[in-house]
Amino acid sequence: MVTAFPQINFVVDEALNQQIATARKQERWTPTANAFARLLKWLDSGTDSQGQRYEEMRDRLVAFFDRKNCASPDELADETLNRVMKWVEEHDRDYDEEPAKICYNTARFVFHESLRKPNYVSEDISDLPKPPAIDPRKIAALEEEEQGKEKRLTCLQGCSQKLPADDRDLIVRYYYGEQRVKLDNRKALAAERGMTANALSIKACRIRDKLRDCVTKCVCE
Amino acid sequence: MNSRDYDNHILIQYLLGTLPEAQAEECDELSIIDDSFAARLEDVENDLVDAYVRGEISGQNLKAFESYYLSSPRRREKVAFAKSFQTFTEQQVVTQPVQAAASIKSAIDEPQTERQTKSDSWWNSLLSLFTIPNLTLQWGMATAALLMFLAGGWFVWETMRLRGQVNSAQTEYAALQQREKELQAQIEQQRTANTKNLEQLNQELARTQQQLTQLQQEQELARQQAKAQPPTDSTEPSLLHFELSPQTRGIGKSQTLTIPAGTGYAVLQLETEDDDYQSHQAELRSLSNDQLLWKSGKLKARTRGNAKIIDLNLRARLLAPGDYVISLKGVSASGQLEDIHRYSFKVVK
Repeated sequence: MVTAFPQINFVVDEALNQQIATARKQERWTPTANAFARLLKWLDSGTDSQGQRYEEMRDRLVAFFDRKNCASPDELADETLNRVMKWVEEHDRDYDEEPAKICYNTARFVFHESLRKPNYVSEDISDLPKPPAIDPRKIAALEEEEQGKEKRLTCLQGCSQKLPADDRDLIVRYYYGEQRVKLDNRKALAAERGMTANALSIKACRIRDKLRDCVTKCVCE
Repeated sequence: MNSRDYDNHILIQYLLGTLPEAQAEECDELSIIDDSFAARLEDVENDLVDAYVRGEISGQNLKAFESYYLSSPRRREKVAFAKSFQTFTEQQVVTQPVQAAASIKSAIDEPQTERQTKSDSWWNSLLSLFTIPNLTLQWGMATAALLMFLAGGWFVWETMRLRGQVNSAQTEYAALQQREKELQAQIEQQRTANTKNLEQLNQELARTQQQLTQLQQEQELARQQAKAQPPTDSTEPSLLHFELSPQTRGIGKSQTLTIPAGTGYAVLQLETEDDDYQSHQAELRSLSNDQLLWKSGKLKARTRGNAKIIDLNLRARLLAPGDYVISLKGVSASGQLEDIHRYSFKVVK
């Protein structure tokens, strides 16, 4: 599909399909493989991250819309990236100094548009009608009960086995313990691996994200 | 605007939706355009969720977490994952020795599988000879791993116990050190007090020695003075004898008795005629006022030639300078007193 990036893995294919689906759902401009390849290249700013930069940007956008309590953060993130893709295509851009800035500005527009749509639902507790009150803890507890804690734990054990032993060791030690113990563990871990605290936290977060994605898929199966 | 301007507290407020709008917008932007900010935000969010799961959040933050953070399904999913993940990490930490044993076993299993796939080779029959010993080895290794695990557990327990003992000993040691300090302070105080007492005693001793020396000097001086003075008769009698003759009927001349100072007694020897009285009695009177100064008991006369003598022992202090008269009376056979003689005398000192 994307001849300019033969090394891009199937994750990118999935992402493109998602972009197309979102565009079709909204009856707007439909992204092409070429436009998508150009977006990836543009986001990488000359390097080749094998789609990783795109994934990171999409995750950040999803989190952004989620913190805004948008009803469908994933759809809004895809809509944002569609618009950026179209903009890159139309402006024939392969490089830009601040692609992330353009993504952010676009996301703001998308967010403000979503506020005007009737299907926007804020789940902020202050916006909800008072009676009957919804206790988010009860919702969380019910959901957890439904999904099954045992199943989640089993999935987690299975997913952890897919991790390299070194990553598994890192993530367990990075997140184990309370407050002071945790900080001491992290210092020792960083010293042991010759990493800065920042680099260690980035690595731990990535492993955790990977594990969470795996568990989410496992639970849904 | 720099991601380093934001500390963890601000990031937590941002994640809990309690940050003022202007600051929240800045964070919105940084969360997308700044890689390091985005990474930090994710790290802080993971720790925040873990803290909530462990029950470490309280007060306003807890309220905000439950009212804002948990309002999103995606974030609730993160919390659900964190709960399982916490259990998982604890299990991993606890069961690491078991997994180590399992990994040893799997390491043993792999060559065995390889051997099974090559069972068709002609020399495999030779290798098969080692199958039973290898099986024994596998079980042996597994048992060894189990024993190692148990030994490890025992060592951990023993270490904790010893650490407890060390802590206890350290506490006791600290208490003893404190006691030692107190005792040293007491000894020092006692030593100071003793030094003061010793000084006082030395001063007193010096004074006493001085007094003693002075006394010795005085004694020596007295001794020298005594040597320089003429010797005195230490046996000087404290008795003085005086002979008194009775007054005649005419005017008699009064005798004068000189009694020097230091005389204890004056022995007055009264001369009388021979008579037939059984005993005698004498009275001393002051001549000036006829006051009775002394009266004797029964007296016996002694013979001296043709005369008889009656001795009167009077205290010298009784006889102050002046004129006196002694009346001598005789006691008849019927016990009646009869005047015999009067003896007048003058005392001079």
